Amino acid sequence: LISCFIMPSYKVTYFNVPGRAEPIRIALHAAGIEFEDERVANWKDVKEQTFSQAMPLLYIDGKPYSQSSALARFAGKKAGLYPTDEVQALVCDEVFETVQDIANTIFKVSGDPEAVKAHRTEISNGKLKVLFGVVNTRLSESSSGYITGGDVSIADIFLAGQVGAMLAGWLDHIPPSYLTENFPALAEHASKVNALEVVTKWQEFHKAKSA
Amino acid sequence: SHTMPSYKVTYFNFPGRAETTRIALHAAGIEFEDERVANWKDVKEQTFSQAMPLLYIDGKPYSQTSALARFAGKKAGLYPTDEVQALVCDEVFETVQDIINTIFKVSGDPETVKAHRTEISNGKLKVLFGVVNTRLSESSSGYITGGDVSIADIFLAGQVGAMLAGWLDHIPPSYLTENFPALAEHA
Repeated sequence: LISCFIMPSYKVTYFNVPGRAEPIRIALHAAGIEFEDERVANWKDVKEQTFSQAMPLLYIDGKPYSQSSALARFAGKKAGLYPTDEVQALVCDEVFETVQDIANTIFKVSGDPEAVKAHRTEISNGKLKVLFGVVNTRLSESSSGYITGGDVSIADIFLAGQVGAMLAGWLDHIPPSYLTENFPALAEHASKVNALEVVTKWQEFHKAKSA
Repeated sequence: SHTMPSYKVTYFNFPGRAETTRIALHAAGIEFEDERVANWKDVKEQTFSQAMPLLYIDGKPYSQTSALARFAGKKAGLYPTDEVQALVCDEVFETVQDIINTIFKVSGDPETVKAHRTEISNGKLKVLFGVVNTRLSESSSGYITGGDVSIADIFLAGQVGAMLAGWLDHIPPSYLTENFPALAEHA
């Protein structure tokens, strides 16, 4: 009977960047769930010993679980950051996966600087327009200002993280103006979401812990 | 408010990434138009996401394979309510997506395809199938989440079944029966 009242232990394992782990970290923190925030410095050294040879990973009582969107959805449900309405949940999932596609499309080509430049120029006029277009459409359909039409969700948080990084100029060959000129509503959405307490209180907590 | 929405599933004329959604909607007793596109190139650029499958609800398009399958799965009782079972369901569903994406990452030149499939068979596919195999071995129910049959079982079994039927050049049925016999049985 006593074991029913013991909370599981949680650990999130990822690189020392927000990236694909940040929605998970933000959601667990918002849910009031303590977790070990493991940041891997030498992924190559440990990769082959991990469960899925990919990150992020969420450990629950020492047992590993994989797949960004699965982990974010699990944490999001705990934090009230995942819709209960079936169509809002559909849109949340759709947008989350579309942001994954955006990240995967951008990082599909790496290494040779000329190849990266050519790739990013091509996708900016092609696939990224389509993917951001899907997300932009959902935002334009929403009367709440949040992507599902309901409350803020993991989709808003993940999207705003990606868009925020791009607006900060983190991507060579895809400048901030790409978003501000083509998808200004997404740029505004990101500024708004990234200023929400649910996001900032995790960032402040993490900053204080790392100090 | 008593009018059911109209549904349409749009995809190529085979099971693939739409089958789980079709199976779930049908299991839920939901009638839907089962649209099979013959000439994708001709229509691609006019579609919402320039990718399939698509689910149209009252004529409005929704995209992303796993989002559609989860929506339909919930309606059919094929998606867990338990949070950890749902986590495993989602994890396995996305892992099967990764398996498919990994296999089809390289296409065209036959020699390149062969080299790619040989490489991933010994590498990334072993890891991805290993994740799924581990979940199955942890389950006391025989279904991947440890609970009832779900969209993860259905999507996985579709992919494994196609491979067992010899649909993939350079990755024969023996690849699964020798390395992951439990997955072959599950399928």
